Amino acid sequence: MLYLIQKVIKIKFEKIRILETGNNMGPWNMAVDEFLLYNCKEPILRIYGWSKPCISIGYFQNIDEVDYKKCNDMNVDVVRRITGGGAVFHDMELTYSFVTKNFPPSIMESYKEISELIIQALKKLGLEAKFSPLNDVTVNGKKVCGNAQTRKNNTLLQHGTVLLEVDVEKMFSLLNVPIEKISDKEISDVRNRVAGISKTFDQVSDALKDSTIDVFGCELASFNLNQEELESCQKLVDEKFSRI
Amino acid sequence: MNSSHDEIITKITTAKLGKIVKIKLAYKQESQLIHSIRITGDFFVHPEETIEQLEQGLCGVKLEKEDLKNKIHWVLKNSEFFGFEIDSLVDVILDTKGDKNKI
Repeated sequence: MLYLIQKVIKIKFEKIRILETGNNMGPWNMAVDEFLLYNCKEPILRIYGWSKPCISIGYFQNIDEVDYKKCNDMNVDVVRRITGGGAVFHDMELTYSFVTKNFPPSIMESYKEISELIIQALKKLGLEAKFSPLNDVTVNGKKVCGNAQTRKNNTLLQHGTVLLEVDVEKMFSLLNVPIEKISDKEISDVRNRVAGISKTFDQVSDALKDSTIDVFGCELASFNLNQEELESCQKLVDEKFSRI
Repeated sequence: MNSSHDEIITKITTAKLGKIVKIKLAYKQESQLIHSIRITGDFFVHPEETIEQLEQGLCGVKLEKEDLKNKIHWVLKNSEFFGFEIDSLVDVILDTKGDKNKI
């Protein structure tokens, strides 16, 4: 089994630092990711969640993708990611970020290698997960994990969500698609293409840490952001991520 | 016609290529030159700033297939992008000038 994993993985690490930041609001979560991207010295796996539901829109998306009034009424944060891709409704999920200066030049290859962490974690939980190019992980043909990455300052950041449960109707209600255009078929199509894995946050978190050791053959070292680093993240929230 | 009288027309279109691409195009009616363009959607481009460079680079380019294609090739030559092809992006820009809305 380990031999098969190592055939997929070309990048190797001796040590990966683990940062578990718990549940936080959308702007804070994105600020920490950006901070890590620009201040990465050693590879980092960050595991986090959301203290209240949040929609993140992709780097290239128009702000009118989201129904702000409805988000406000339903106490849902809205934030812009530093990565491309579509609008993501963050609610019942585990989110991770992997940050490294050692990565394959090919975008496709790096998605595949880093997503192996998720695939092996899900396999530990008894799920037959597969990589689905460009950037998804599927179980039984349904997307359970979406990923996106950016490269800055010779550093790669890939973040992604592992869906624990999915509420398709709520997600659609917050996006700015005219309600008459959201047919039952469209909702049904999404429901057929996307699924939660019906595991707990802690189960996935533990499996992900174990799979990181297996996949990269490395040791893990936990750390927390110090006061100065937290202040830098707060500055990013105030100056960048608290507005779209 | 004097260029100062070249009326600027603004149009928007949305197309499903590999990913969704939305174009907001302002062009000069008489000369058919792009005045400004905004390209948004759920695609991926690395490095991300390339799209802003493309939007700036397309200003002043004539709304003709070869002109658009050459400029887009030039700006995107050192980037990786997923969710659209250059030819389909050119077609969407030209469709925006017309009245076709693909979605």
